Amino acid sequence: MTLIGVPLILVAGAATLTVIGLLGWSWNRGGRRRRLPTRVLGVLLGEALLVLTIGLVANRQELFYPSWQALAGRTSTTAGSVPVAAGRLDASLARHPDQPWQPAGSAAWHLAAPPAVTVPAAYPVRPVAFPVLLALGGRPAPADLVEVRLEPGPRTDALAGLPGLLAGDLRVTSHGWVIVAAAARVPLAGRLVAEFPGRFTALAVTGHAATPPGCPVPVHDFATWAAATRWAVAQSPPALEPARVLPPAEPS
Amino acid sequence: MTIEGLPLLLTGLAAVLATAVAVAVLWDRAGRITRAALVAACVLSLAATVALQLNRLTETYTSWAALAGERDPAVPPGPGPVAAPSGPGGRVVRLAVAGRASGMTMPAYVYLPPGYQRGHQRYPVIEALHGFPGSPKSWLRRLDVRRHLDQEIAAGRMAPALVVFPYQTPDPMVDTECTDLAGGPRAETFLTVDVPAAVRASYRVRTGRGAWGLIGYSAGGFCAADLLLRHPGQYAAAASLSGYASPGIRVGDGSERTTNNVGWRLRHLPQPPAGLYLGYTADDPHSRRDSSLMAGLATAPLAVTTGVVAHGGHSDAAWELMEPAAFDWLSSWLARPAEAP
Repeated sequence: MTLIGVPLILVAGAATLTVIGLLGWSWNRGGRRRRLPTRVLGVLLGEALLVLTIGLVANRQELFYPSWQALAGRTSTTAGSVPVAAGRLDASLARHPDQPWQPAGSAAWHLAAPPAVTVPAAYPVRPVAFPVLLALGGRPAPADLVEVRLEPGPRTDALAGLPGLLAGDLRVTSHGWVIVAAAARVPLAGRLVAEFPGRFTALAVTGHAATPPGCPVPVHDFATWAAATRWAVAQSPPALEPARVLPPAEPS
Repeated sequence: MTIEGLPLLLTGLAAVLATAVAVAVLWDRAGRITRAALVAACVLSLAATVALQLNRLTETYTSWAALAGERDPAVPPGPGPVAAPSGPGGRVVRLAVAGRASGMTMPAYVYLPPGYQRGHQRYPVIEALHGFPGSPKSWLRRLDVRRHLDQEIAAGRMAPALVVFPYQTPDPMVDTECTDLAGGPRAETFLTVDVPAAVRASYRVRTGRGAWGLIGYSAGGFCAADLLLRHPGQYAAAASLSGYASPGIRVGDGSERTTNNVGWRLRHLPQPPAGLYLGYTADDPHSRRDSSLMAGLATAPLAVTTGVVAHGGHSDAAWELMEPAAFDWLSSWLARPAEAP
């Protein structure tokens, strides 16, 4: 019998009425010695069944506990954690934390110089995903993020596939990335932010620039790369241990 | 005797037993009026005991003063005293919030993460909203939030953060759904103006929207999603646990069908660059339907993550399971603790 089904409510209701009926029938029967305990037990049992019946009706209405299992607190679910997949360059980065990064496809970016990555000292020893600081057209101050430095050239108008390429090569988070850019690189940064919504959380600029149209992250101006880096890093989450996760919803 | 304590509940049960015995013993000797009084005493003691237990389960009235209608007797505005560290974990303190903008002057509880007392950092902030009926005590007692926060922070799955537990209504029987009720309590203003102002004035917290998030269960889940969409300049992420897409009350200006309706907002208004976590149980049809609706309507730059518990209905057990996952997720969407500029 299900917890929220009509049958259980009918049984509880019938039991309540039966006990109340029996209580009335037996109220004045038997000697005083037998009558007293029967009355007390009958009243208490009737009260308990009445509360139970009302509770069952309310629970059927509101579905607080849709099943006996839910009532017992057995959720049949455990929060797991998804280990972070190793990056293809992890071994190499353990030896050379600062190195060129030239993924297949980066030629299409038409950069003025080969891209480079720097990983923080914790990267080889902590098997977690790190947020990313993307530097466009300059050298950021050292930070505890994965740092990617790109020197855009005159023909660089997009950085197609950059987040995916980086995620294959290094252990990086899926969001909470920040950009530090030279003012002249703000249109490029804006296109990147708009192309990958939800991935970038802050856009710091050395010099002055307006937020490009369509860029959902506002531009913040700074006088120096160091100040821009400090601010941008503070906007990112720290590198966290793999989160507890519940099974996601089935795609509908 | 406290209103929520076990002694009072046991007293209630003793009264139920005593009235049953009294009816049985005195019935034969009693006149009509006495008999009516005996039956009334039975019914009253039973009803009162059931009410006490329901109040214990929902943490609606957390003190006799609250039941008597007193809001926050004789508590000066500002933070309450912080006791000396008693263990390695965080501590929960009381903050009196002066309702300068909303007119709602109510207390809130604040979780200070481990290390808060000794450090100089400014912390991200999460506002945690309760269900209806309920109170901040539901988070603290029924959902054991301090233990969960301590565990997630100690494990490094969550960055240290302040978590604020405000009241959402001046009258436990008035469901505000965190909105400004027309001609009634201005809960939205309290939660988005007065509470943040009191927190900023009293504690070392970060101020930008990137460091502020929301979480809530049941009605509080609706609150978290609604406030995120209504105030994207103030909050970067929200987690709705068994929440809804609509408030289920009348706000008084019809906005429950439009601007205070998460479904309507997602359909008709531009979506903000923010994170939204939707946790629900598969056997809770209302919040499952509404959460699926919200997940289906969300588009970039709003990013949705879902987490589904197989069984648990609309219950504390389900929310306790969702808590660590939701706090970890929130932390990954919020700016880190940082040195003061």
